[in-house]
Amino acid sequence: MSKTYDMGEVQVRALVDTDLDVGHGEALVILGPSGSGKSTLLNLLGGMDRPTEGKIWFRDDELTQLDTRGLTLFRRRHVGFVFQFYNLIPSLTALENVAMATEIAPNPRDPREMLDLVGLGERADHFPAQLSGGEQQRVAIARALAKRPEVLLCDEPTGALDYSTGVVVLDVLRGVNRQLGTTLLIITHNAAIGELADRVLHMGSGRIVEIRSNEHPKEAAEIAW
Amino acid sequence: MRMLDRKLLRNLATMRMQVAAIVLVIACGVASYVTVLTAYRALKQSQEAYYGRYRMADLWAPAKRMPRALLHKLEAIEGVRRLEGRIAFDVAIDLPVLLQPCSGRVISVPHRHRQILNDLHVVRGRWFTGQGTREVIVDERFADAHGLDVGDRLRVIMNNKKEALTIVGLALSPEFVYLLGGGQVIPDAKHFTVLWVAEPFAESVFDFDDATNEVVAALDREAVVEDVIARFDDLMTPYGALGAIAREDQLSNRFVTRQLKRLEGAGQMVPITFLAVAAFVLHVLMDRLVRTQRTQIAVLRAFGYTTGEVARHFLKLAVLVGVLGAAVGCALGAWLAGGLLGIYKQFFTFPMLEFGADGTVLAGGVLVSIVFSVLGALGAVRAIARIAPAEGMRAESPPTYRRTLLERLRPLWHILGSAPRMILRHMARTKLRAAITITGVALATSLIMLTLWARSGTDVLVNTQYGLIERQDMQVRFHDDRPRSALYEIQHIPGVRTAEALLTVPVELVNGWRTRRTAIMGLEQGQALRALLDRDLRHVGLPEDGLMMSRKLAELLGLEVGDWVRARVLTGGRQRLRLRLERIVDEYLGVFAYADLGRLSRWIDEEGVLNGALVTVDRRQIETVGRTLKELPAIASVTLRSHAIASFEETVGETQDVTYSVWILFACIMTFGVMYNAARISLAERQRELGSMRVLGFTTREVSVLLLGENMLLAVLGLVPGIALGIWFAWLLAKAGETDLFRWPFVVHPATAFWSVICVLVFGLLANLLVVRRLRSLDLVQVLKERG
Repeated sequence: MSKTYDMGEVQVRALVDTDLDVGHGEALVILGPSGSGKSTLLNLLGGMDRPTEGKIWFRDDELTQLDTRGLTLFRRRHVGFVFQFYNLIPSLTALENVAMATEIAPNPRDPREMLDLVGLGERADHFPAQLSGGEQQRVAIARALAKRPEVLLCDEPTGALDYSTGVVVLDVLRGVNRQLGTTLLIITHNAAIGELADRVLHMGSGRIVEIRSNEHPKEAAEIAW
Repeated sequence: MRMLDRKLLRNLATMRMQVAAIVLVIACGVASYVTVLTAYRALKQSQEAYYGRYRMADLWAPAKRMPRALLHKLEAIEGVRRLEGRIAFDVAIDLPVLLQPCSGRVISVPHRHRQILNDLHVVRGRWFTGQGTREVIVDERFADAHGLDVGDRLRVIMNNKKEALTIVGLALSPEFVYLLGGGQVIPDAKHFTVLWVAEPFAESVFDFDDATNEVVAALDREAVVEDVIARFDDLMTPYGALGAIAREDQLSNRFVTRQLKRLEGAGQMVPITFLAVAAFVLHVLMDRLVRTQRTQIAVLRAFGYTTGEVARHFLKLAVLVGVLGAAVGCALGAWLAGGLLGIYKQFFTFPMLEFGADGTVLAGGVLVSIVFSVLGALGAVRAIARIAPAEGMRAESPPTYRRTLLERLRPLWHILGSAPRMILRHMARTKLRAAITITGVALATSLIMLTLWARSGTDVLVNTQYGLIERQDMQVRFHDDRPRSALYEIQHIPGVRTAEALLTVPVELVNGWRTRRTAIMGLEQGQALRALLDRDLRHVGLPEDGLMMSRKLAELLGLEVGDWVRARVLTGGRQRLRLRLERIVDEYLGVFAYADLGRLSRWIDEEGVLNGALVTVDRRQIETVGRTLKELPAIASVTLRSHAIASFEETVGETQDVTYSVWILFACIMTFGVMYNAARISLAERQRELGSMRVLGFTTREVSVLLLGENMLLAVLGLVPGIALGIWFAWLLAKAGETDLFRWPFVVHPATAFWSVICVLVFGLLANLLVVRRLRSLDLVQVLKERG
């Protein structure tokens, strides 16, 4: 697929002739500098944007055939998002943030269990403003997981966190991937995170430059940056 | 252009829709100010000019008949500057086109024109020739209503003789700016008019050689009116004085002055409401602007701009909004003022009603608009002063939410989903803004309610007065007291179904220092054509002895049931009576007293007489009956109920429809302005939150509900106090609008509240939908990148 942004007189080719297969339960890390096209790729895969050319398939469904509403339903049923800046609803407590996501899911998980899973069962009644960045990100992960998504898309999940907090968050993500079998896609410009993944994708100038498989992915605690 | 000014214009352009909404609300305020004050000043100036130029009298003193020689004595009374005697009579006018005779008041003026008190403004035609025999000058409005002109003939029944008079002129007089005939509550130029005839002719027709029955006087500026009146009454009593009246009590003047006062009041209250709401909304907008521009402000401060310079920059924006609103408002107001004056022209007639854009009023409009805008910006300016350059560079800390009070009600809270929780917590966090929205909506609701209430009041009044109280088809008045046989004569006219006797006796009722001139209406026991009702519309029986009066009259006299009141009969034997107030009735029009007809006739020592009749007629024969009645010289006037209803609904109803539509439109604009800004700011603040939810898989509709839900909840919260406020305003207005002519029924129909609610909800929803539409184009990708 390709994605070209029309910026009036200039056309920006954000993604050029990219072909990618992601396996069920896989942990994939997409690496690349700013402007390499990794965010564009994630947005297309997450059903938030449409490619200019090409097709995207989720199992037997062709995403590129869906209208806006169809894409919304796709996100709602199959995709969990984790944002760089957490994007929690400030007016809802940690537990309520997780519960909110379950309100639109057909087969949700128990919000409290999800908070326990990310290690925040104790802080369920805190508002986002009362939580640290790492804690907020873990709530965001719990929220993403509560819908029982097949795919978890993470955009720079540790970008706003310090090293040790980042490690905790990555550990949670990897654990979710292994224990629940959720397919994990992380985009980051931090090469060290690639060591967690089953496969690492390097991007540059809108193309996949290199795909590398890790025979022995590391644990979060083992990596350093 | 300085860079800061350029920034200001761009900020304004970005917020153009919100600014436009505020400008509109300000414009409504300024427009109502300009409209009402322009009309007020034009009317006030016209009134003063008219009174001045045509020498409006300060005192009227009617009597039965007095010699002209008495005038010298009266002129010598201290405080009297100038005095004139004249002859004035109520007459019947016979117009072939009209079914029933219409009535008029003949007033004598000198046959050769000289400057007199209450001078005539001759619109067309000329003064009399010679002695002015069989010549008449008629009120212009009457001539216009009937298509009469100079040279036409008019048949008038004067002193029981039918006279054919030639119209020589059409004129207006300062005495009759508001022209009301006996028994009328609103002007009806078709059925009542003033006729001016030459003095020599009046003297011969009415057999008033060297006599007069009314004195008009101009007083010295420092004269004590009450003292002068007392002296007049003393000197005139032997000649059948009816009691002198000061200018402030003169019917036309009293009505005009009262209306002007109410207009002036409206010119202050309504604009202030709109401008205050606009200021609040502007406050919210500016507050938001300062918060989003925190870093920009900090940078400016860091560069070395003083707090004052930055504050001035933001104030300029507010002033600009104020000026824009004032410009639109002034233009609109100047245009509407013409319309409002047009409406007043239907009731008040001034020969020179000058209307032009009033510089002082326009300047005032601009000034108050700017003042309120600056007030709206003060909060923002204070916030600017609090931003320290270093601190401002850091992003504002994330919004802190707390548990709301409602959450203590655990079971209730638990059944709420995320959306209501978000809505309630957000409202609790932005209390001031929520309060402003609620207040704005409440005020708009109350304005609409008040307007609709006033309109429905007219219907209630007409329905009650003419549907329930007055049951007759016609009310007939004789020239003087008649024996009972006069009633049988009427009963025998073909087409007449029933006729009931009526004896109307003009009296002055006195209770201590309180006096009131009115009439006692004598009715027969068991009569059916005048329903006497209490507040709950239950029938009240006519007392066998003593008086019954309308609540307003009892109030004016400070009387309660069981109290004694003194009555001076103003005609005939001029008896002095002491009467007991037995019962009270409720009526919306006029202030009357009632008594048993037999008893009343005995009080005036004329047992068994009557001077009027209430008549019901076979509907198909109204014409015939009217024609027959016209032929009877004894009859002074006939008033048709259907006429009274029609003219009431035409004049009052249609006038109200026009003015009230404008008020309602203004109030709807207020609702829109308040709700639109609330929604836009809510959207701006929660864009990221709502965007995140969209990414998580919430549909546009689900997200819209959050935004709509919050704003519409505020609207609903505003409706409740709005309705209460509306009822209270209605009550105040009903109280303030009470006159001896009218009482405004304080009846609030559920429909009034219903339609107010509908208006507010429709305009509130419209404003919200315009904002919610923006959610569709929310950039989801951007949301992921933005820092909270």
